[in-house]
Amino acid sequence: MDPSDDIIIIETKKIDVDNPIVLEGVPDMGLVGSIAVSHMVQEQNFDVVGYIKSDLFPPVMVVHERKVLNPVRIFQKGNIIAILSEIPIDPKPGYILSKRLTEWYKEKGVKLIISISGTPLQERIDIDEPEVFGTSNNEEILKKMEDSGVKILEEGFVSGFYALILKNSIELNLNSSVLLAQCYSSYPDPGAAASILKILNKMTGLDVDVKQLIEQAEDLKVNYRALMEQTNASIQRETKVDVPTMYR
Amino acid sequence: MIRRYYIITRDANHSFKENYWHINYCSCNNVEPLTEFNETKESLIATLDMPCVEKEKIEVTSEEKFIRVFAPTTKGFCFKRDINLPFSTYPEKVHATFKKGILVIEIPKKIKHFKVEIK
Repeated sequence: MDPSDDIIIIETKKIDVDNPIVLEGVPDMGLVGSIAVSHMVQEQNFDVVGYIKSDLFPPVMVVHERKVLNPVRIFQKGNIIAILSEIPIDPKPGYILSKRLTEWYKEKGVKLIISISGTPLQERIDIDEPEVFGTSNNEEILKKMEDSGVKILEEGFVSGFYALILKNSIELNLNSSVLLAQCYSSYPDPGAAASILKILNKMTGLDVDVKQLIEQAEDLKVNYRALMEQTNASIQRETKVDVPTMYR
Repeated sequence: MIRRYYIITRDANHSFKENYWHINYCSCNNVEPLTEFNETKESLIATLDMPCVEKEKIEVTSEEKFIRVFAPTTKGFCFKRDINLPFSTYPEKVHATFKKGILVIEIPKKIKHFKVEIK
């Protein structure tokens, strides 16, 4: 049995769109991806078009506005598909999920994958507008990112789930990119998510209003506290990668 | 922000702390704030994420080997964190700042240096 059979992608509505762009928000540093994608799908009224299930995920269902929902859901609006996870993805399911997802992206003819995360910064408390860094396996996309205000990583590391997405994308010849906003490492960071969404507005033609995200930052930090706590524990469980000294 | 510090030389199973606690606070849902520690040779810096808290209502108490943080939120629960120190500090020199919903406590280490006499 192929290990990727352990992850099942269920489409509750037919996703029939040519060359979609995928935005991924998985709990990670500062929950930047989860907060950004969650805000985007609510603010832009994305439709829920599916979910991802696996026995490898923790036994969790989430409740939003009295509705019981799967924690890893797929949304769509126009040519944008969004993947939102409200549970941290541990390394083992992470390997399999990244493989299954990239295969699914290939089937769907995805033209660009944008993975959203954060890069922790000790002095984050002194920064009002976090900068966004990025990388991609495609030169044209790097240029587009740069034109949208992203600082391109010249040297560095991408680790964790999104590194696997990048790796599998290269193997499957998919265009993949990662956006990293300066963020708190262990606290939810709606400000960093707002910085990412401003960049995404330029890159994808979206028009996500981030005013609410900034105004309600304190409330969001309370709401995301439990997920951040689980994510911090998950990050600690990840196999530690020895980063060469030059990158420290 | 309220800062209180106590120098307790004889700790009777934290009984003083517990009594003090029950007198001053009602029973409220206590939640531990997300906390990061950064240790240097001279001090320990504890950073606590405490959204929906007013600076004036934060109470930080320090003792030689113990720091307690308490703050009611506007959401009906309280943040509470006890930090047992693996070293002694000068309670009156513990310094705290609150900015953007984050409390930073700098706890200096009481370091004594002795010149050892060689006989």
